[in-house]
Amino acid sequence: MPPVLTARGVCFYRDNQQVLSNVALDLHPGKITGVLGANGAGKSTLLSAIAGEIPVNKGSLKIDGQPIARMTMQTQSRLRAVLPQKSPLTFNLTVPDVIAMGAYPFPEVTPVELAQWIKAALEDCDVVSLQNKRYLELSGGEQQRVQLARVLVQIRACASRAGHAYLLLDEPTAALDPKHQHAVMQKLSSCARKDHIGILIIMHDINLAAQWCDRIALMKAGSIVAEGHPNDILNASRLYETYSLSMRVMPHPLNQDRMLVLTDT
Amino acid sequence: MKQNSAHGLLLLLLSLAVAGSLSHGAYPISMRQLYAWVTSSPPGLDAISHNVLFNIRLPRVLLGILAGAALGVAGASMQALFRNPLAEPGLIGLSAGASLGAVAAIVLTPGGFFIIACAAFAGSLMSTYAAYLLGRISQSISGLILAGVALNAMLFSLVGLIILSADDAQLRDLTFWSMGSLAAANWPMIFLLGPLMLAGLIYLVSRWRVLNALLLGEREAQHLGFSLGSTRRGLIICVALTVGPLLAVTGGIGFVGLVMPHIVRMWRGADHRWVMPASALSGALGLTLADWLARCIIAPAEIPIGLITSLIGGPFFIWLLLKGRTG
Repeated sequence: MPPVLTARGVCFYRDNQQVLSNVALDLHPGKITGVLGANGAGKSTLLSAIAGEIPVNKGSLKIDGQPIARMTMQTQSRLRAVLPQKSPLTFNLTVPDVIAMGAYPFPEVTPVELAQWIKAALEDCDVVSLQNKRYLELSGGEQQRVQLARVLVQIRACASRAGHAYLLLDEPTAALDPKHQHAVMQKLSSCARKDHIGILIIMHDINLAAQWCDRIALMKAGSIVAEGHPNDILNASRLYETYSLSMRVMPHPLNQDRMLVLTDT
Repeated sequence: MKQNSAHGLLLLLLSLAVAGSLSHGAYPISMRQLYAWVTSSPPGLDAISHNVLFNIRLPRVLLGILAGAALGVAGASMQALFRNPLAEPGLIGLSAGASLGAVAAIVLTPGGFFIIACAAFAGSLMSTYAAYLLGRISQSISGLILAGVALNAMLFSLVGLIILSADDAQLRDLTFWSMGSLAAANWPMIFLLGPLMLAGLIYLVSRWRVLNALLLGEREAQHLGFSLGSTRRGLIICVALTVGPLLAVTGGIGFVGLVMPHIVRMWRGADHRWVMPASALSGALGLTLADWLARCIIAPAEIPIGLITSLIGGPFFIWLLLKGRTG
């Protein structure tokens, strides 16, 4: 299946600094791509560019062959969903209110469909027990899972209308405990395959990425220094180049197909 | 309480307030007479009662309903747009501009209701536009707040300068203008302003989705497909065209746009599908009651309505803060 989203030669400047330099990336439906790199490497900027928030100075970003630069925000919102790191919600909405917002790009959706999607999202993100609560009463991790549920509703709506879609996540597991970290990654993985979603995740947890991503892109100083299957590109020298930290890579003792990364301090 | 029954309760309270306000006043009209008039049954109304009811009370009560609804809905919209529960229409320079226009008309021209109203409307539009332009330069929504604050300060000092050259009669006129009143209501005004304000109300209430999305932050609203520039423009223009003419004919009425959305959010949450119609209904209810008090406390004299809304709104707001729940 051809890639949903393609980036070629993407460059972006901010305050006369080059923040993105010749970035090339493909997002395939059904696959998770992890983007890893040190702070300031340009990961969030790349996500902003793909999300259509900032216009790139050079290069092309296309989805299904159509340039993103020529699409309205409304069109894009029916093809992709974005989950940023933090959500500054300070008003007293209920959990279902927040989750239902995922369907706003689709005002034509029927109440029955919407109810189904909300129910599925509540279960997928393990927030069924929170559905009668108000958003501000929840802990940071619970709020993160509710936002994820909202984004899942949007992505399911996109997939139901367009057949496939893409999902951009900026550190979605940052506030979650280990059990929920793996539960969320597992859910994203199955969602990607079932609904034909191309997922891009910015992550800091190298082992989580090594376990769950189908492809990994390592970023340094605005460009992608390596991209491919985790087992192929995760090695000590590349990781040192990316993070300036000594690491050791070895076969995962519990999961034969994947590698384990340990810091060597 | 389900949403629809909560709306129903507000509507019922509003109807009771309207009935009370129509009958009570310097010239009392009994409820039985009112009922007879409404149902067109005998004995009907005598000539004076009919005149008072039809030409004075009814337009006034209608203006109160429209004004209260407009202020409530505009306040809720501003609070969502700025993601700040302390926002209200005055933040974008509406009241300051209207005051400047009105004061300039009172002091520098022969005056008269029509000239003052037009000047106030023009002033409110110009100052809102100036705040919008200034805010656009900084690109962020906090830029718009700062522009509004700066513009308000500047305009009010201009008002002060003009006041320096006012004589006693003019001073009295502009003091009462700034304290607000529904006394000037008449049918031509209702026919002129009514459709405009209703259109503005309907537009703002229909935007409940984008207002909800804005609560998540501007970035998230964008990801959900709402174009920030046109959303901001649309909301500000609509608020300016709905509240501007209102301020022009009533003078300054504060607190309704600030307090009503708060109460409504405290009651059943911040979802704008509930908040917008409820702010309209509760704003209408609040202002109708305030006007009733304004006319009746020291009848046949009147207390300016802006004074009532501040006298009640201020302490009420403090009580809300002390209870620890500001929406």
